[in-house]
Amino acid sequence: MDRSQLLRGTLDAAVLAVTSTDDAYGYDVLRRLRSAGLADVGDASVYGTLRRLYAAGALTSYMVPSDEGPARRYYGMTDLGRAQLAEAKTAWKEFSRTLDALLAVDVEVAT
Amino acid sequence: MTSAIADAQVRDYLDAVRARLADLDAEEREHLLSDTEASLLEAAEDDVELPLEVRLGPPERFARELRAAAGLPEAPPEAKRPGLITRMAAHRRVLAARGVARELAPVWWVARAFVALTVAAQLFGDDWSVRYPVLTSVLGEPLGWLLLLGAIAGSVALGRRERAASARWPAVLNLTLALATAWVLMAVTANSGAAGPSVVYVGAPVEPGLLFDGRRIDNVYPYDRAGRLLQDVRLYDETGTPLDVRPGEGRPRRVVADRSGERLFNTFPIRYFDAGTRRVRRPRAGALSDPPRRIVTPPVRTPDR
Repeated sequence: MDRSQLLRGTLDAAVLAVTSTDDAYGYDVLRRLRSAGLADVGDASVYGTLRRLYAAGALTSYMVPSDEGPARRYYGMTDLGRAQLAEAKTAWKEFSRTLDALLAVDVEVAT
Repeated sequence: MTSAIADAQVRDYLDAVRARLADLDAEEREHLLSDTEASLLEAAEDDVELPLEVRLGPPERFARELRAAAGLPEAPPEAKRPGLITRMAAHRRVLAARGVARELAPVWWVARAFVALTVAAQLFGDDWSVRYPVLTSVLGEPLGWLLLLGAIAGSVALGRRERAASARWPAVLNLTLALATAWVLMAVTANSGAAGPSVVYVGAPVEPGLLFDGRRIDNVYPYDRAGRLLQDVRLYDETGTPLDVRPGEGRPRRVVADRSGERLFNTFPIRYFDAGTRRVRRPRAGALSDPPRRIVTPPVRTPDR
């Protein structure tokens, strides 16, 4: 199965998850996602997602000047974001349990 | 990859992406791009020998992915390959220039008030000021200054409202006034050429002596009210400069001196000597064979010294 298809539905949760521990700017978020194993996550998808979550009120943002280049926009969680992340966790647990069960059945059938 | 090259690459790439987000509102677009820029710069330094286009894919796809992830509508079909004007309008230099233009707008508000007043005054038959050919004459008067102040106040108030609303008529007004500005500039240029003092060098150096309407004058014969020819009349121009006519080559003449012994060259008529002598040739010579008629208008009184 195409991993990018899977990612599409779950990127919000992944971005919220890596922002929940520490505030981060765009490239930070990307790095954290990749080092967590989502190697094929696209730059544009992450920046677009950050903007959408920010516009929806799940993230706040503030600018921090940088020595090396343009100021960085840091993102941090809001209460709404935390609630959304908690909800996503629950939904994912249920979904993955269901899918695990389904796929496990399939695998048994196949063998 | 040196950082200068990385910077240039990132900027080019961003410009291409920006052009494909041209239909979004400015805040939305710049937010998306500012994250992207900061991150791309850093990524370019961290990373790779790979050109951005290879690592990130073509800018069109990047822009599409940004829009999709941000939950924004797809670019309208014509924006997939935006027209030259749209792309130019979204270019960062053009945006920077617009920023500068916005800051300078108040200067234009004042200038257009001046232009509008000038044009209006000219349409109502006002003349151009003689002393200051850039001004229409009413501006030399208190009324003119009041009108100008009023026009500036009105224009500034209008300008502030233009900023707030994005109506179409200010564009029409500004365009009209820009054309009017061109007209005023041309009129002013023409005026200052005509009215201002100018020096024209025509090949030969200016010859000394007196000119009347461009014609060379050899002598001046003053007559008084009674029609009597006057002798040794000293002439000055309006600045007090004596109208000196220096003796020319080969025309010996009588030279007058004052009590200090200073020689005077602004006395008229000039009396020439007979050739080879020091005797005035025709002491009674005048411009007219008969004296002019007596003047009957009462004289202007000048106090005696």
